[in-house]
Amino acid sequence: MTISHKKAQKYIRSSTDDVLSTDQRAELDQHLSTCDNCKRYAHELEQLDTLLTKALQSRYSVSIPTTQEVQRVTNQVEKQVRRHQMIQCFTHPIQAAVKMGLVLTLVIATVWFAIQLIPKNYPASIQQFTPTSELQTGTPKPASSLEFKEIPGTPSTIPENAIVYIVQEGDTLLAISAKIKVPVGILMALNGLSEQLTLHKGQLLIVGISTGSMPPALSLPTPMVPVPLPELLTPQSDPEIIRNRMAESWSLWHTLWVDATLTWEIGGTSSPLVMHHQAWVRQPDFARLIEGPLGEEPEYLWLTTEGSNLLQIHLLTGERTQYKTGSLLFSPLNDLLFPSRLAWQEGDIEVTGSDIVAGRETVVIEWVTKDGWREDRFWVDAITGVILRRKHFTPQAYPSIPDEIHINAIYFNVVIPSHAFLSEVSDTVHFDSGPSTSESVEISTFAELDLNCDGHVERITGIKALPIEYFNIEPQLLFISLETLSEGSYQQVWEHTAEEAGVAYLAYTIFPVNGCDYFIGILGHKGKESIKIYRWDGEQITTELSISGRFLFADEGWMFNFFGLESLPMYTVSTLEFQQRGTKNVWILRGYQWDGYDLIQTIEIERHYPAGG
Amino acid sequence: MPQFTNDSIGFSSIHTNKEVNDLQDIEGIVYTYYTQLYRLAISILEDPEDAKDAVQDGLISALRNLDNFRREANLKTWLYSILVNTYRSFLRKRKARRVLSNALQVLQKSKPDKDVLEGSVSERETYTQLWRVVNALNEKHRIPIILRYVHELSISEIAQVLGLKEGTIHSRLHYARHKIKVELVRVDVFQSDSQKKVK
Repeated sequence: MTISHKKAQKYIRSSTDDVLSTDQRAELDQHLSTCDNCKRYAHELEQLDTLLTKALQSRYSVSIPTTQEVQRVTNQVEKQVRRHQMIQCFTHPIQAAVKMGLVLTLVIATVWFAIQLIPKNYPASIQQFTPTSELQTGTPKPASSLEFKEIPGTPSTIPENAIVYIVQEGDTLLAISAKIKVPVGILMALNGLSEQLTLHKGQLLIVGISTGSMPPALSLPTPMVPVPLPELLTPQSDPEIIRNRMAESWSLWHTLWVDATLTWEIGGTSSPLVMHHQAWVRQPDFARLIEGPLGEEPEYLWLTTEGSNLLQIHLLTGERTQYKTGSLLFSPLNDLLFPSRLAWQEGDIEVTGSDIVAGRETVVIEWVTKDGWREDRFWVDAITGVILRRKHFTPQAYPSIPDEIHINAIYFNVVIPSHAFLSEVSDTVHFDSGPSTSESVEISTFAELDLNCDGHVERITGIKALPIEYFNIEPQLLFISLETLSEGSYQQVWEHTAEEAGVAYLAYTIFPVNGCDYFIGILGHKGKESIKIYRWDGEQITTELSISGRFLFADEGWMFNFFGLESLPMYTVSTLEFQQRGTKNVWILRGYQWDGYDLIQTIEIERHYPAGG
Repeated sequence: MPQFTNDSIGFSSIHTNKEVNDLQDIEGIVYTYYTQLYRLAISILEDPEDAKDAVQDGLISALRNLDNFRREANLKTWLYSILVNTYRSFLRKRKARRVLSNALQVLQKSKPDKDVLEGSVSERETYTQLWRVVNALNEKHRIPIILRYVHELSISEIAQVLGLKEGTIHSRLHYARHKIKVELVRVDVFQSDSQKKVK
């Protein structure tokens, strides 16, 4: 059997690379005996191979270093390694603190998933991953950079200070424009493009010119992608969707401040009883509520700490009473802020319209019981599912429920003053206008290390948020920044705020790739996670990966698996995403490889399991 | 001092972190491996001064990351991958610093080896041209060539060092060799008949 010329040439190349099998060798030899052209090709390649070996071997022969030289290097290395050990001592407690197993079952699931994965050796479904930001400062290429010239469409001259985008497979001008937030018109103007132009993979586009005064690094990273909010509820929403939103409402916020008016009609003849409630809530365990007649000073302060202990303080007499309770807020407000219980009670939902309550969009629903009684009317927050207003129609039967609760103001994911949950009550407790924005803040340093082995120390600083213990991630930050030490002072190269990212807090992790390429992973949490991976190369910071979803961090520590699943050691980053689709739980494993230039997604495996299994 | 050979990169003395914590050992490591690390550095960086610095950084980086070694099957490729990456970041930084790295200028900077000087004029000419062409390759293609022909690593080793698939290395080497050949033919130091038939 003879092989084609093409295959023969491939074999010849394999032979040059020393990977030709005996069988292939036999096939090749047979082909070569009849094909002069291929023989010539083989001969040439062999000549070139020999030439390269001889020439390059001779070029880099090195003499033995002097004793002084070795001594000098030894001293330097010793110093650095010692210093590193000291830094390790400093950062290790931080790393230890972030180690967590988010949910034990997820650990088991992950391990199980990994076991499932290994023996079957799934073929990797290759899918080109398009990183959000491929921006690089226009490092001027040497004129001799051959490949560079061959890419069609690349501007013939690229200014030295240009910021350049490398076109990915499937990119369009519009997509690039959206990705890097540069208008299409500007892209076209910068690159002298016409509308009919097709982009080629690898083509370089000028996307901006860095100005001398501003460090280019500052303008490069894309902002944290806000975690996508759940779809807004509308009067057209399916009643079951509304019910589900109410049921999962608790997972869509972490802290809140609320101001509400509660009205009891009391038989309808005398004037109604109207109470004023204000509360701070921090899931899952902390709440503080003050209550008093509307228009007067608060009478009682209620503190829930660590779940079931409730402390009532009479603000005039200072009298304290302890209660045990099942609910976080000892107030009819509890059912509105945590509507899961209401959501699962019997009855049908009838959507009647929409309204604005406390400045927020709501969907108005009526709760119809089995025997046709319209028990309640709820104004459901279109985003969080929290009930912002409730009208109750069975006053006699349930006197504990006011006829109407109206939330006047509500703020989600606010910073709660640190003294809010302390039982030492100052003399002056008033109703107020809610969270102030002028909390004093302290910037702390969390890590100091040389991220890219260039001898310049980088450090990570930030402002701590009041941690949500439930997530067991430390530190949880409101603000995070990367700074590099240059000429004796730290220069900020990049920053994020939780507020801009639309998340409850930010957390970070640092991990090395091939020794000196440290990556920084940033996570923003808000029910789902938004994750970005950055790389600092000493000159600029680039976004290598930007994803959002529900990710699982388990095993050895926070995000450990995220950055290298045990069973997939060849992947720089692997993610295990969890999705719920109807009655199915879906696990999606993705692997990304760092090829020294890009983080490329090279594998995606999806597994479906019945929910609850 | 043991001479560097391809098969016997015996880093066995630095297997565990405990041993490295012994500073006595660092000196031993430097004495033993400086030559081959320097050779790796200069082959990638082409600049004696940069190479010296890079060796130092590479050693530091390797010793610091010894903890990460535990799972890797091959110590040699693991070390090479750390060192190559250190050198590569040097390379990038330098490229950013210099507007244009003139391959010819760099070439003149480091003296040719005496073996070459003893060779014939035409051989010297051929070698010089080849160095120029190899230096003109972009990093992506040059480094596999360097690892293959200077350090005589196998395809699978290069793949491990660079963290790429073997197929990628094959195609990069193929591309690089093709470029080199075309250039050498162009400057008339290599004869080729089949050139047009190869993609």
